[in-house]
Amino acid sequence: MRLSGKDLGRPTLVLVCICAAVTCTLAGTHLLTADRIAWQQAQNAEASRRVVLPQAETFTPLETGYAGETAGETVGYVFETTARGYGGAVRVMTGIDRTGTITGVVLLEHGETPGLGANAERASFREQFEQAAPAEGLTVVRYQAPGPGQVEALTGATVTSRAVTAAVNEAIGLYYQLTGEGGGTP
Amino acid sequence: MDGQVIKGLVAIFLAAILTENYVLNKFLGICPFLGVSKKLNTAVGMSCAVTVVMVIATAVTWPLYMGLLVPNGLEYLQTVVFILVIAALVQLLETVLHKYMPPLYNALGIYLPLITTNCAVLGVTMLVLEKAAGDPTFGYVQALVNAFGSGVGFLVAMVLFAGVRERLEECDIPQCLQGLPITLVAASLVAVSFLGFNGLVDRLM
Amino acid sequence: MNEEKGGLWREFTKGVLRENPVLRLVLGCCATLAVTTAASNAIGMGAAATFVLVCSNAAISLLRNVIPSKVRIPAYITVIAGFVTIVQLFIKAFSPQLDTALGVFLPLIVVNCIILGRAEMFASKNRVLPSVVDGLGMGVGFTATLLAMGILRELLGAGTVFGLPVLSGFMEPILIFLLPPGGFFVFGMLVALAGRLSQEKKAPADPGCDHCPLAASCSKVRGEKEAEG
Repeated sequence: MRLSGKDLGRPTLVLVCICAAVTCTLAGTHLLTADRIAWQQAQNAEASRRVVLPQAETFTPLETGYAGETAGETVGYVFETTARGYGGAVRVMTGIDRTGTITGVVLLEHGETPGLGANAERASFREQFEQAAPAEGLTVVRYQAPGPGQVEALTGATVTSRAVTAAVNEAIGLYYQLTGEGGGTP
Repeated sequence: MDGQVIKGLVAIFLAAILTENYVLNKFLGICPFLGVSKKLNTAVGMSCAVTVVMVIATAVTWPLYMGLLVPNGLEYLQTVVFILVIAALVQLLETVLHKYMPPLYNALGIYLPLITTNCAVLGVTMLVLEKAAGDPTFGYVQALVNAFGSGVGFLVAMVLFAGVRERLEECDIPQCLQGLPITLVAASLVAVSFLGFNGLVDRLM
Repeated sequence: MNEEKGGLWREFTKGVLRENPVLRLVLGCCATLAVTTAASNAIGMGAAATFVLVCSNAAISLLRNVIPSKVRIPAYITVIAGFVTIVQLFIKAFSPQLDTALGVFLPLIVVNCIILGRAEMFASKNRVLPSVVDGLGMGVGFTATLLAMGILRELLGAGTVFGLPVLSGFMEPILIFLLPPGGFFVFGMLVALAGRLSQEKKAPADPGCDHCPLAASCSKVRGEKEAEG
């Protein structure tokens, strides 16, 4: 197969033109949608914050998370943490109020198996976390009723249950770090 | 510290083969899985070619994404760039093999054109980036090990399935299930066997 | 005029029934198996793929006389990847839930054999209007198959359809239908059923190379090499 200038030139030119046209179209679409995507993400994050810390009216960003405020007074904190689950990263949002009680846990993103790990999205699993946050963290138990400071693992999805708990524990750590610095131990 | 890293790499490798098997757990690369698994030698040849391309593609797309697309805010070009890089790589690999390594070309080269549109290859280059986003310890080396493990996982699934299909040849199959349906049912049973590895990851991590 | 309309109608229905891309041509199996754990995902995936299919068929049919045959596969892939990214950006902007549910399978529409297959087999040889109709028909066929699988798997595996409980109290859901083996099994049964209902009264044989959209270029490449050596 000999390559003459014509043989090589036209296909290359066409391919370059197509690539350029596609890239320009994409850049245009990106410009059109970028604001909307950012707005959408901000909306979602705001909605999730309201779910995990319902008593707060506004949220101010901090270094490690968000402080929830009502009438100018801090009522609790919201943290976003990540742990490794069965199907990749599990992103969790945790709300903890001023008394050190977990007010809500939401899964922001996960790739867990539908029917097994994905059941961690269910309220029955998430509500288990709504209890006083022990400084040493929550533990996962299996085949038994959970006591204080314990969370019962989902059937057939121990890895996911541990991942969510690990993420919540990280949030608890951040909480005590924050309130500890605020003066006096809680 | 070093021991910890190596342990992590082994865990990533084993997980990629057993619990995150691309074909049987993630449904990537089903076409070659059903298409070329009829005979053992073609199954092995295809899987080896896929493994090689997976590793090379990850080796190239990772720095491109991290070094070129992310700093310039061009993440949205990911799909276009990756598929073109893979297509170019496959073409290049084929030419090089044909010219310099004819025996290897005869063994693997004939499968290469099919790999351009193999979703497992594009899938692995994208999934390692997703993993890296959720795990700060997941770097370039981990990504390469993951890609290699995924390729080996593909090989394991193909070889197992080729064995199952060779036995199917001699079976008396109801007429309405002959052909593709029985192949899919067999794939379903092989996938059941891989479900058994689910508990393993518990100990690995 | 009337005849032409009938021709177009036939182009459309062939994709839905006679040449259903998934069940008869065995294309695009990966997405079919992966996203059908819920009926709503199936619709989202089907709609996204249909949009890409129609647009890429139109674009490739327009460009069919411009693209030299040597670089046609990379050219097609670039065009398809462009449309896929557009869909991806719009889904991210207007339905982030769907984006999360489809995950990596949304960008992977690029390598969905249905789209490249129709570009290669139909759009590159036909005028724009038939190509668009062909894309639409294939897309609807793909969506219908995904929906059938999604409903079956969600109903049997989780006891719900579109998230609404249907089987509650009647029977325990059979979890394995949501897991990978259930996907293969339901797909096999649907292929068998479609085969039984087809004119040939049998399911397609195992997909060999002839089902692959790249087969033509692949054997051509090999033929050239052999002729050369």
